Amino acid sequence: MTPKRYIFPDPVALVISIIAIIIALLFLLYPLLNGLLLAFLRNGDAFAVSNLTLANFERFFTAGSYKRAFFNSLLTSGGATVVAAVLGVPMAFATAKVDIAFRPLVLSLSVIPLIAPPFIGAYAWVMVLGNNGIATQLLLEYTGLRLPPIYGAWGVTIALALSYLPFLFLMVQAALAAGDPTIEEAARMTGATNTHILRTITLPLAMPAITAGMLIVFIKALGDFGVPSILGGEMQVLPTLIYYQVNGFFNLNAAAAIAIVNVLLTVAGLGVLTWVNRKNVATLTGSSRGFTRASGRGPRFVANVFIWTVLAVTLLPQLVVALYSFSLRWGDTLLPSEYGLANYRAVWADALSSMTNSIILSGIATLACVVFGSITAYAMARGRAVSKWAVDLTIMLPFVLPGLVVGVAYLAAFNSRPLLLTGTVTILVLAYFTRRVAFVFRSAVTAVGQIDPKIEEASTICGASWAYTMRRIMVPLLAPGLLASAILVFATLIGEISATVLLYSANWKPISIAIYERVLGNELAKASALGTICNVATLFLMVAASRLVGRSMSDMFR
Amino acid sequence: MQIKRRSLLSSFAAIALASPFAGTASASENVVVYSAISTKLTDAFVDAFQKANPDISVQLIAGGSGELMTRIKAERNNPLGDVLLGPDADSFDSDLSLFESYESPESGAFDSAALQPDHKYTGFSTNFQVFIVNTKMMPLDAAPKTWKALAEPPFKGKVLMANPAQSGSAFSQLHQILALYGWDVMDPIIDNTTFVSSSKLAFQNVAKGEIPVGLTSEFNVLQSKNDGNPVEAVYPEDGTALVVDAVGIIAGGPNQAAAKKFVDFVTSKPAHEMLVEIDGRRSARKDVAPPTGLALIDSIKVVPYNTVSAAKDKDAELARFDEMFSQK
Repeated sequence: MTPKRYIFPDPVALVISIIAIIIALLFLLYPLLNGLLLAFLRNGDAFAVSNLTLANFERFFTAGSYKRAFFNSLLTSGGATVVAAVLGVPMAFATAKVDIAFRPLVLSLSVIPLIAPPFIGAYAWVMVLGNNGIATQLLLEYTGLRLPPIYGAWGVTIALALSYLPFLFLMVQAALAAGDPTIEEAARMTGATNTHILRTITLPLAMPAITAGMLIVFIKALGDFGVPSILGGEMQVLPTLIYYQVNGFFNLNAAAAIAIVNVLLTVAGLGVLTWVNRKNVATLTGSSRGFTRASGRGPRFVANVFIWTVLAVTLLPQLVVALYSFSLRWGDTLLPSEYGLANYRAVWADALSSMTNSIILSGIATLACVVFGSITAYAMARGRAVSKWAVDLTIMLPFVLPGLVVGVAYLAAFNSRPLLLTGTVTILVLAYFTRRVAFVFRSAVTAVGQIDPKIEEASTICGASWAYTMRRIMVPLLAPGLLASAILVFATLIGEISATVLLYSANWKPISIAIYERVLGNELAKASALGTICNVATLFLMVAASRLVGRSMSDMFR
Repeated sequence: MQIKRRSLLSSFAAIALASPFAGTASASENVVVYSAISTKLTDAFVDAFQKANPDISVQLIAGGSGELMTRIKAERNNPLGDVLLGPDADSFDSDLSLFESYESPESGAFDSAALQPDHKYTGFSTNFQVFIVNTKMMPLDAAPKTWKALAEPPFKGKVLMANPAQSGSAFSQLHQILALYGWDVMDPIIDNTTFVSSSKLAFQNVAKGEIPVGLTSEFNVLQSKNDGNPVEAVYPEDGTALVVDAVGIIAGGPNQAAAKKFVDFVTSKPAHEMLVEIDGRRSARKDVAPPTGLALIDSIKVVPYNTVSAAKDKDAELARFDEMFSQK
């Protein structure tokens, strides 16, 4: 007989869960449903049941540009997901299973593409691989080979894959490194070959992490505006359509309809994920013992070459940005013709204040994500399944909606009393929170799922209160996994632009806006200087945060 | 560890409590400026304005004209901005009810084409739409000389233009071509030209040698040339229009009096000397000379640009464009 378990058998727990529900309704569900409702109204119509229409969706069946944008989104995001998996999964195996040098460095460097400031990162690809780019020119000069033009689906797919590969790499790497070594050891002792172990044990166990990583790459690629707008050439994708409906026509209704189609694509992706993972293979028992890594010369050589090649390629745009930041003159030459620190001197004061703002804003939002995400995840994992899908959807929705849509929805929802938040810093923190809480939530669900409920029951039986059990058992067990996702959330918030540009207030200007301002003013060298400062500062903070809690980066993503 | 956690929590609480007042807490007068012009020029404006009005502090929100208009429209019921600085007149004309009528005392010094009849905005710089040509990829004598030439076979795949649905300046280019020739010429141009999502790319990619010709505003060519790129501007011989970038006061904004002072400053002669000097823009004031390096207005064939009809016809023209574009 299984004992009947209550989720929150304690008044403290009850209050916390009520607060969580209020937050979810007020800041997640209300603004977004309010925004998405626009999709069913004609541009300019007020809300009334008689005004509801599906007209905004009609263009997906009639207009050629919409049909093609839909197809292009699917093609580039799907392609990027496959490319990211092909590169990221072996890279994760090499990092987790082979005894390579500089593991902490590899893991730290791999995060950089996620911090990278928007727009200039995509533009850097043009400077490397464009018709007149550095790599193109060098190849032409020394080998006579002309690279195909990067503009169009091909370039967008590659750039998206390399920008979001770190998500997949880090997740798979963590899953592999955290796996229970005894299963593989048992297989080896009973005479299984390496390939047999890989095929029947290691890969199946890593599958949930691989598919979850692929889904995140797919979602992020599906919502990306910067890369297709710069590398797409004439190609339109759903986010560029949304952008021009909002900022070209001010047609929020059409934009909301496109956003819903975008969400449906994501839901389809989620469905595929659930189908692939239908066989539940939860085996993790919280073993603290690491396993032995392959240390032969052959595997180490191959692993190192592969890892550093992929890293070099993903870091290429940021290296170009760094180079650009030191250039004083870069006209019609392969490399800058004049170098100096003038760009840094010009932006230094701006960088200092805006970076401080970014750290505070992203820090608070990250903290909120961790608190809310883990509580909800706990309730969902331990509670009965009545409304699991509703919670899941509520939290996932802002994660899969493009930032521009979230920004517009927030502006519209919080611009009157009693919820007058526009023009304050609170609205930005809230938008950050809603855009990222799903990420923490997802990893918390996984983490809670790996902890056997019997541990909690034992504690309760011994007379510990719910709060005491939480504080002394659950929090310490969950902390490592949550810290890793919190650091990723923090890093990606520093560079957030699409919702920020609509919501930030004048006395709290974050560094992503400072960079964007320079891009707008066509001062790309100064934008690059700001971007490089931002990269270095964020990286430093991430490393410091992990040291502070006594773990190196490599332990954290174990 | 314990102390750290405490202080983090209390600072979180402090910020959460203080933030609702963050927008308004200030001893002196405020003015909130939504700016779509470059940081360099904005900063120069703000410095000079604050020197003249030390009791008014300027708060800046920067963004593209599309983003700023989106903000203003979404904030319609509770406006938070006072001044919109920099978008093209078409953006203002798209919904004039968002703006307050205010006639600057300086308006007599302005070209009448730059003034809105009800003073909903004042044109602050004017610029011509031109061809930017990378002379290393295409000698100047081989470059297109007219809008009409863009429809001809030699320029197929050689010309870059921003998507008019996504860029205000690209829409004014489209509207000009239509006013001159109609769709008979525009359709083959759509066939020949590559359309990109960002108006910046239309000149940056030409400067970087990605494609020989782009359509852009003249001051972008001047700046790009000054940065050391092998580019020249070609003014279409069949006539090009002066497109106006404007400044206006947002209706119902919180600081109307300070907003008026700011607009007075932006329309003043010293401010216009700055925009010529810093951004290489052509001033809309009759008494401020154009920047060195830009063609003299007498040497350019100027055709009128009707912002009212541009705003009125925008949806229909873009729908027709989109239809052609999606058949490419």
